[in-house]
Amino acid sequence: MAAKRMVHAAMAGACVALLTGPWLAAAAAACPIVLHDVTGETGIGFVHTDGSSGRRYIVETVCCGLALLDYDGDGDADIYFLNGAALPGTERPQPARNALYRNDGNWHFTDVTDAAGVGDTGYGLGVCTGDYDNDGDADIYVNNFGPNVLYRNNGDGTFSDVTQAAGVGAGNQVGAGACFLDMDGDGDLDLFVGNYVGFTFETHEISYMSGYPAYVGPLHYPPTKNVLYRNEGNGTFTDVSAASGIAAHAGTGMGMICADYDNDGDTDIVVGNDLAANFVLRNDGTGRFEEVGLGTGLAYDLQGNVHGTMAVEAADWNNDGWLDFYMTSYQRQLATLYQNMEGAYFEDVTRRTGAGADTYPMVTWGAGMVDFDNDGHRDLFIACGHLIDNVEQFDDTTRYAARNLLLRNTGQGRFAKVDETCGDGLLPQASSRGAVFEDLDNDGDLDVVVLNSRREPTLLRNDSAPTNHWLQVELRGARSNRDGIGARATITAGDLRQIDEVHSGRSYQSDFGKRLHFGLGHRTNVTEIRIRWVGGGVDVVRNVPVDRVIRITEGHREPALPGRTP
Amino acid sequence: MPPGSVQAGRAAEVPEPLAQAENLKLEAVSAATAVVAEYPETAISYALLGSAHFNVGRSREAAQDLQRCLELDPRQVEAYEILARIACEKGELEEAVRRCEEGLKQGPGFPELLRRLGRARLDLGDSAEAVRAFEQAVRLAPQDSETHYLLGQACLQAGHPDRARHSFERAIALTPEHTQAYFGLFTACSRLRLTEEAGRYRQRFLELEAADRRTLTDRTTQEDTLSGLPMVRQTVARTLFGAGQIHQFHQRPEKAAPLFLRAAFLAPDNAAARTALEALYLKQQQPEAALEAFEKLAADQPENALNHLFLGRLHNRLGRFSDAAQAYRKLQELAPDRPEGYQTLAELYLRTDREPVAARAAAQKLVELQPTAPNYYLLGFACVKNNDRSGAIAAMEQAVALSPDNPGFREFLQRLKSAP
Repeated sequence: MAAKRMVHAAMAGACVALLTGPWLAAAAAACPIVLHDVTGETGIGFVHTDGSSGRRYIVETVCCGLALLDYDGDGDADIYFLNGAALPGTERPQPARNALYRNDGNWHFTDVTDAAGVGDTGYGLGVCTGDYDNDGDADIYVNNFGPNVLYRNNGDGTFSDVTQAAGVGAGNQVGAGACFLDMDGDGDLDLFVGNYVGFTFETHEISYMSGYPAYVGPLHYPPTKNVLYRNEGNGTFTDVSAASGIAAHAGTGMGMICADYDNDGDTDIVVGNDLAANFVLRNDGTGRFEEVGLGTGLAYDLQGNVHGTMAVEAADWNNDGWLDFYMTSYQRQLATLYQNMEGAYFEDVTRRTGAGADTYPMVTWGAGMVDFDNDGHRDLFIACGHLIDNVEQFDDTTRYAARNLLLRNTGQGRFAKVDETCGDGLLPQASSRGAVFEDLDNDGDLDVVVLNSRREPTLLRNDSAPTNHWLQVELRGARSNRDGIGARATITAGDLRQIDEVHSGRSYQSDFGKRLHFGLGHRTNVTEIRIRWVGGGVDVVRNVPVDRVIRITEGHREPALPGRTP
Repeated sequence: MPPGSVQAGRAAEVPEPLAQAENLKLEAVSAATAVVAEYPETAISYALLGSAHFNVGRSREAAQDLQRCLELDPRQVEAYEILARIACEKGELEEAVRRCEEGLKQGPGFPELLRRLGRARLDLGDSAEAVRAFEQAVRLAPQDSETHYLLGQACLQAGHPDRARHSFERAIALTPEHTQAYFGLFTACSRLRLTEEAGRYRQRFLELEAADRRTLTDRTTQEDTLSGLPMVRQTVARTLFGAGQIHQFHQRPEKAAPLFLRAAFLAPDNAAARTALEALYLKQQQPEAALEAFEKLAADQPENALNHLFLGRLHNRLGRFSDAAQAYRKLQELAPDRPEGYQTLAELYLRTDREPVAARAAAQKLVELQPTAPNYYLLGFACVKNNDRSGAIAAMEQAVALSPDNPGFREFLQRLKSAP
């Protein structure tokens, strides 16, 4: 916090010196969110490649996501970047690989890929993290184009590739997002693995847009089935795709999230499909799923159109106690906010809330519904960038390298576009893909990491004025899974009531947010935190001071600071 | 080249589809530029150039051209509509609204502009204003199913599912396979808790959506579609057709004719260009030249039924009835599920008093494909020519039933019944 205040004081001084024009002063005053691009000072040298050579394989367009996880348990979020790999026609002196950067604090990160042993050279697409073996540390699952990889965390800063032993290689498919979830409430994490399309090099074709070489769309290839693995509790998984009902549906999976959309206490699965109806797989509580997308209103937009859905993100945007969904999409489609109408159905409220502002000309990718200014209302960050690198040659209404978007939740049923006035963080122009959000510097607000196609990532430090209060909650399962994945937290602070859930795998084929973050506005005391664990257990913690990170362990009534057992 | 991307093995030569597309786009912009050079102080020339630039993805130049068009003549309502469309595609919805409102001051009876305004209002979240715009558009274009559908959408967004339902039903009455209108009905009925109706509409939506998807999937795998050229040809043909119309307006048929012909070459289903070409030659008393043009088209597009329709008409006009009949038979052969071939052939035979049996067979097929009152009248007439009075009466009873207010049909039926 001290460092943050210093930054703010310096900024304030700069403002006195620089903001002499009334417009600039008004702009600076207008936005309580301030994001600064600090990529250059982080020491991160990762550069993404999609492995392209001009042959335009469809997989190039969708590469890839990233994850934030505390792999070494030191209390701060580390970054795991997925990467593409050389495709036919491309030669690289060294294979591209995924990269793990350890957070050293003070916005410095160290590449520990070799030491940790997580430099998979497969063609990375999606990632999720979770403690699948309940041994107290975060494991990583990588969903590739090609065989997938499960890295088990050894607890000493290293990982072991246990894919074969665990039985989760998932064949040789074009992957998408992936999620850990406890589908049957048995206390261990099962694994949902998304797949995109039935692409092969043999069936590859190129298309032309207005004469220019481009990519064929997902309808050019057969749809594929997703895969569900049940955790047997002994380090192995069993493919239960057919028995669970998952395999009854073939789609074109992209981003996905496992979340309890109907508040019935179990974890459902929502899969964004590319140019096909999205899937809502409702869990009956035992790990059997029924596809109910059309009935819920999440399969199509309000006009009955399918979208080129990219990210699927879930959070309660209007604090009514129900999870809403935000889905990003292709150019000439609005990124869409589906409001949960108290479990009866979802209503596409994009237009009336302004949640799709400026997304129409863009291809939109990673997204976060997170509270950047801690005012108790979740804002929207949307990563943008076209997938056709020559699109401007035949369509000047869009851009390949685009600025990302930030929409601030006014708390009055609307989002306001603020990316012009929220600092320099939204100035970089790139073709972004995954975007993730955590408090990287533990100063009480949420920062941003964006994976950009074919270049370095972007790290944005949240330098918003620390005028509002906040609380971050880490959950530790005891009977339920150790990470508390799927657990629902409901906090009450005066007149403010918020919910959140622990998710593994979300947004655009990425993962973040295991530590729940609540902005509290001016409220200085959280009167109640109610945790509903997967499996049905409920813990209630009362009178929690604000502006801190707490850990709540299943079965305990007293919260603790992380690292201390209550 | 972006860092991190090893771009090895790129083909050095320009891909064939790109070369073709670039040539086509250049042809369109050149034709429009030539029109501007020929008629420099006319707004419509700049409207054409703006439209040409917009169609080839150059919206900035399009906006400049259209602005110039409006400076020359602010009553060019179509220019506002394209400017509004450009603004929408850039996500500049307030600008789109402004353009639409400017245009509506000049042409309040322009339904396309009202639809564009309604869409922009809807996307801005102003559903009440969107409803107003679509209601006006419906009054101006009551037979346009899309406008009814959009009004339904706006009503749904404004929280009036009952009104939305009515509009979606109107859309379906006009376009029975309007997939999205069925989705709208499903949604509206669900909101109204009309479970049974909602279920029925949901089922129909899923059927139509699956059919749409099959069509889309089939099309996306076709080689010609993958090349992207059909769409380029269509848009270029529109520009060339527009250029031809402007030349024609300025009494320059020698410049218009090759543009109409080229548009017809590029767009096999463009009936407007063919009609304009035919009319242009006939106005100049040059039916042989028209015939020659359509024979060229037919030779170039042997599977295109539309050309044979025009060939038949022209042969007929020139009194070459057997050639006309041959063209119409070819039309039937190429488009056996379309009514035009049967209609034209039946009419030709009946008018020239030939082949009564074939005329009746053609008329019979025609009413099977398109059971309208005029077509039953044609069948009735064919029956008379075949001395089949009872068949004629049966056909005319159908015609009268379908069009009870038509005195001609009633009179004919009466004569048939009262004949000895």
